[in-house]
Amino acid sequence: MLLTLIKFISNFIPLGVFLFNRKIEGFKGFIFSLVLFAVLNTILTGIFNRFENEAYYYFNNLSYTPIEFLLVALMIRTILKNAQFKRLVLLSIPIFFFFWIVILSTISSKNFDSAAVALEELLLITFCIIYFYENIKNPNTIFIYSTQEFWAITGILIYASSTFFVYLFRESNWQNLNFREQYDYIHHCASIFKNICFAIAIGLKPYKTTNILNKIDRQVT
Amino acid sequence: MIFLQSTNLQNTTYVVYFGTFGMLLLAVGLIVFVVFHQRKVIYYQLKMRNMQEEHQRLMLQATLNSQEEERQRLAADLHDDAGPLLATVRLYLNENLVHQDHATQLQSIYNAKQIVDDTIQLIRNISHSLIPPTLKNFGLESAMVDLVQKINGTGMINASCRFHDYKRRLKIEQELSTFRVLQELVNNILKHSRSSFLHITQNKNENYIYLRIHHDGDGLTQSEYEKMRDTPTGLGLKNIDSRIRILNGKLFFEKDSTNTYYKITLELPINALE
Repeated sequence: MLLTLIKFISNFIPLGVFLFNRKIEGFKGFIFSLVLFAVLNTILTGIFNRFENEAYYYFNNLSYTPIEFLLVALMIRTILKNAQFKRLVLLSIPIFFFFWIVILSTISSKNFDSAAVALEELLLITFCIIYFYENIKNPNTIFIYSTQEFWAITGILIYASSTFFVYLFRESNWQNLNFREQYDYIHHCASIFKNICFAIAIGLKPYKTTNILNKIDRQVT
Repeated sequence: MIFLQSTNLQNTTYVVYFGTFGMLLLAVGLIVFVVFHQRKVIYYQLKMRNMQEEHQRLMLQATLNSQEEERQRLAADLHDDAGPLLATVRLYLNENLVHQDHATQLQSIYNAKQIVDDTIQLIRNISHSLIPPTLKNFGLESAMVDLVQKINGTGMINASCRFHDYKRRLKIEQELSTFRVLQELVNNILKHSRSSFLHITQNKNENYIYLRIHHDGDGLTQSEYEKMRDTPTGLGLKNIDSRIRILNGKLFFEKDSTNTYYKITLELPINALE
């Protein structure tokens, strides 16, 4: 219960940081949308759950997974520098939507779309690995953790990695109370961590130099 | 999906816990690796850049020192040799000359003429030390043959030179740079190697001109050359290196597999020279 409360409150931490840092554009715009969407989702899920309404499943299946994937994919696309990787991310969006529709058409309206979420998480983990690969190939800063992008991607990667298995088994094991406990514990911890990472990402100042060596050059000359 | 539904509950708990733990471990591992690897890469790049800058600085310093030494040598030659000679001429041709008898006047003028001739020869020698006339007029091959003949003239070492394919001359500044490199290398061999023979050859293929010096004394290997070149001393080697860079060439120091002689190869790309 306490963890659920902390998780709920943690949703507002990035929003609170946004109040002090009001420039919402580009990369930050996507984080803001993601955070706002998560807050709205938490509130609406709570309402739908309370009335045990079938609308919860419709809402969750039809909105949360695709919108979350779309926002994160577009955010990562703005971060990536390599044009081929950008195209790959863009190309993955219609592919994901195709599989999502196929998966949705095979499950009943009251089922959780475990397979679609698992696919989403796999794709997001892949995007995060691409981001890190790009940074290894062409380092921009000595302290990678001083960039907003690093914290946003770290949050997404840790969240997606942690919740992959609980989402994958959620539909088939939801009636098991032990599993629900497991699910809540892992999901809430991952969400709290993600929100903290997002808050750090929003709070940091943008890293302006494109290359640390160029920066040193400028200092020398 | 069928697999997911058929898995029993106990197994699911393990799969979820270990699966999540494993995924999390991989994710954290990846992040930690990226953070440390990136720092390592950047430090390495910075180190490389610093080394390059230091090398360039040493090169520049060597060039400046070389120029300064050359100027000092010229100044010394002019001051110590040409200066006294011209002062002596002035003494011979002073205003009292008109009051002296005809024979003394003729003798003074003759002496002055002799000294002026010596001065002309001296200035010519200084000029030749800046650019050898043989090189300017007849090319690198003749200049090297000339150099080898002078070395042989000392009787201390048996020197020879053979150009196999040098029909088309390089530009004069390229020939001069190449000559200076070879001259410095030969000079180093004479000073330090205690060798009994020295043989210079020239070859050419489609892309490169090769100039090789063989000698049987104490020579350098490539690593020794690079080590000595990168030390703050070793002005001559730095000059060699900077001239070769201008020519876009490469210099290789090797020891023969039979351990009987050393070989220095100067490789000059033809495209860059033309």
